[in-house]
Amino acid sequence: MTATASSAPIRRLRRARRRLTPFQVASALVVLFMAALALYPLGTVLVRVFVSNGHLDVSGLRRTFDEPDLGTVVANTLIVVGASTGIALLIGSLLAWVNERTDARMGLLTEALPLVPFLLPPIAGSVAWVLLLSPGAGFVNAWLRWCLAKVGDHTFTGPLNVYSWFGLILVYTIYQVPYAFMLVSAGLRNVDPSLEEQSRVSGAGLLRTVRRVTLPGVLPSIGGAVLLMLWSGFGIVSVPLAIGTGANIHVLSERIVRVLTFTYPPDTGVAIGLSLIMIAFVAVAWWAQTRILRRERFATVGGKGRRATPIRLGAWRWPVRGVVLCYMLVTTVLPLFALVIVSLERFWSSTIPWGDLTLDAYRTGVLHEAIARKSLVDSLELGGIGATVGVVFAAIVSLFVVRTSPRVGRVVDGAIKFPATLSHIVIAVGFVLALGGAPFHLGGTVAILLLAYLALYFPQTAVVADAAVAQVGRELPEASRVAGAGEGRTFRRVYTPLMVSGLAAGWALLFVRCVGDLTASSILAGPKNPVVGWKILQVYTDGSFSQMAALSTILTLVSGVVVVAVLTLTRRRGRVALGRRGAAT
Amino acid sequence: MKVFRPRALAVLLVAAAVLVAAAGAGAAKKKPKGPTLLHPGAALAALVKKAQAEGSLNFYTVPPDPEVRRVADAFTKRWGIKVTWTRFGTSDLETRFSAEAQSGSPGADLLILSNSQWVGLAERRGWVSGPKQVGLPGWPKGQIPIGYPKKLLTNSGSAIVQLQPSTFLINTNLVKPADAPKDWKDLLDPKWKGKIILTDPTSSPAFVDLWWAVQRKEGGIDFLKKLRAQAIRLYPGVAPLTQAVIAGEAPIAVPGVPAIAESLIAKGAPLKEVTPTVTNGPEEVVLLTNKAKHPNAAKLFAWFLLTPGGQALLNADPGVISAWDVNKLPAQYTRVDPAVSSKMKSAIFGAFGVG
Repeated sequence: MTATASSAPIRRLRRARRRLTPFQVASALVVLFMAALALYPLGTVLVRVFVSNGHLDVSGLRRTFDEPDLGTVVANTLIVVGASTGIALLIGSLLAWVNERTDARMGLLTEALPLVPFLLPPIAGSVAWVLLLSPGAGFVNAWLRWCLAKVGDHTFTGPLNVYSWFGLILVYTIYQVPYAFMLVSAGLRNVDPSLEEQSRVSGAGLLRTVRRVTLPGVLPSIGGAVLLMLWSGFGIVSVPLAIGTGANIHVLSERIVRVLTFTYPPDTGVAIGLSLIMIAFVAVAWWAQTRILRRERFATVGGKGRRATPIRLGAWRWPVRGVVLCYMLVTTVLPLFALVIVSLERFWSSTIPWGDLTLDAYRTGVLHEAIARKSLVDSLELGGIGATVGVVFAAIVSLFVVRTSPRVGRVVDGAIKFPATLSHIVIAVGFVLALGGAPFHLGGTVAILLLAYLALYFPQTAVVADAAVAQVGRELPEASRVAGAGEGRTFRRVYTPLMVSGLAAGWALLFVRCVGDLTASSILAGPKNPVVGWKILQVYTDGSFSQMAALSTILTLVSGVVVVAVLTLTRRRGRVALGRRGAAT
Repeated sequence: MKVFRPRALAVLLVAAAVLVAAAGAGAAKKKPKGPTLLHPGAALAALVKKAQAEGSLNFYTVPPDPEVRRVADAFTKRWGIKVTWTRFGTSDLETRFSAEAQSGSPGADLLILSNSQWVGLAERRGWVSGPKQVGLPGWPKGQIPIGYPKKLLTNSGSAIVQLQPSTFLINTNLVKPADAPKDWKDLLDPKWKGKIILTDPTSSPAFVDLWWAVQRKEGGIDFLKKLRAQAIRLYPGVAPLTQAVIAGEAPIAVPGVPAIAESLIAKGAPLKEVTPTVTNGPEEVVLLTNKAKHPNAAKLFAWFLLTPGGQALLNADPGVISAWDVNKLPAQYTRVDPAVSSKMKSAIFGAFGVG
């Protein structure tokens, strides 16, 4: 849309820019609140660790570099996180492209199923893959051996082994794909499809159009996805604990947990030192993403709304669908199947006792267990509230960062995002120290969990919001301001509808993270503020895989329904908004 | 006329003396010279009154839910005091409680956790106290009650309430009873090469104590290296290790913990526990929080837990031993001072190729 530039509206716009609006004040307060939430608890821990008798004590950092196998652990981390991020980006982007741009899409099936691995709490997901691919008793290995026996190959273990580089990278990748799928899907929905159509009409082939038009258009989303995947990849703890230990492959996140909880006395200095190494890598990715967003050479939402006409794949349609369905079968149906079967067994057994399956774990572990029920309900409530507050705040903070001076923007952005790269246990301990006692007395309350979840997972949502804000561009908001709308109204009427599908992805992300959190909850939850991640961890350490599987299955189903409902609803609204805008232009 | 018979008189006198002695002995049983947890007298009634006024109690525990639930239910039934608890691994409990204590707002009134160096540190920092330091009904401050095994008091005064000798876990579908290894040296038999799974020794301080005791009796760190060479892989905790051996990942798993294994055996898991002669295991102690919100309810619960009745409830599962039944410990159960064993931590971790 091109605004007719008369001098009066431009003067009005300039005056409005100079004035401090209520929206700007509210934005600044939100930014301050989120920065305080990220920095205050962390500062409390840092002071305790690095200030001794009023003097700076950096011996903890020195000890970090004295760790004998530090080089190996860092290299392992880079291999696992780097490989899984690369593979996940490829798979996630292809799935998103098939779903958004081709006639191979299958509605809700291709829209929601790639997200399911994301809904499984990481500890349950890791255990599910152990149940499937353990060399001796894994379900998949048992079936493969049965098949091999038919052709005369009688082996007792394998042929697959989850306790290996293959297993570790596989499970990391499966947990990373939803990030790429969500962000690239949202990006594709926001890129003006007419550009791709014009490219094709002008004679460019499919690959050339993807390379020259689609990819540059979704570059902010790809940048955001890579950052998110690196971020989450460095922070994953359950997968390296459950699988890396058996494979003798140790990574930074697992080492941090060990020095904090399995070392006497807990070496918080080394934990922070190891976290700083992770921060350095994430900082490089963050810097790259900031460069991409600030270049603004990618396509943004134009003034004319149009829906994409699906690319016809012809003879390739069903083979592509077959590959997509195979991927979903392997990454979604199989782990869920393993968990459901074990939840119906009395204990994990590679030969499924079909005649002896029981609902005992659901009855005793969930239905008749008051704390388990309460933890499930409380977690869903916390997830809903946390995700809604977080996503609105993330949109406000992203706008603030984009519209303020680059230097202030970078400081604010970094201050809010980077603390969460530290070990979640360190931050959770910081919350107890800073807010558990006087004067806040939030220990054992739902409020401390909500605040901790916001601090820990807000940055990931902010990355999603950054991509959404970047894709709105400047054209429409400026038109709104020139037409006389205030900041608040422009946010409500222009930014929000255009960012809704990106923000819905952010909501889903934050919801799932809040509901499935294990690490912070293990420090902050209790009988007065039980949450399901904490309960799952308790059941796991008690040794009942069946009860853990039952609780995880219910959690996955419930949060799956919530996430699919929200994504479907916001997508419809987004289409309605685009349709209206298209009709108006 | 009846004749006086000295023999009859003598019999009567002896009988009277036996009766008097027996009565005396009974009286001695009822009124011992020193304090006793079983007969705490008026102190208990006074404490009950204060505890009931507090109305509730919250504690952190390492022993699993079913075990503490039995004690908590009996406690609530008897005195009407509501009990809630949170179950952790020892390390997680220590991390969480340390943060809470430093913030000045501990979340639990009482702790039941494995004895480790942290217990001494927490006591020195004034976060927690053992029963000997605070005093309970029938357990005056600074003394030891009659009948409670003195050796089960730790250096700092906290009292052990549960012992769990570590075991070998045997999958009964894969190993015939006669073939099952009985002792540590049997595990080095070449026939078990690649058929053993172990727990990562860095995953709990209790494993350092166990391997310290084993290597001391079995010829040093070399034994641990040979054992590691026999094993296929390490697991991140006893829970996944136990599940894996039941599923058939390997015929033998070491070390097992009775509280986890027995609950699965009760569900029909093909599992058998073998207790080696030299063993050790988590020793759970009870500690009272110094800034507890419900200090009297905590004291009453600690008292109840330490009585033979409370101990029987906590330690009802097979393989789990009460403080009042120390004679049931395996012949060569080795008590380990965590301060001593921790000096060999690096060597032990090195033998297993971890840490």
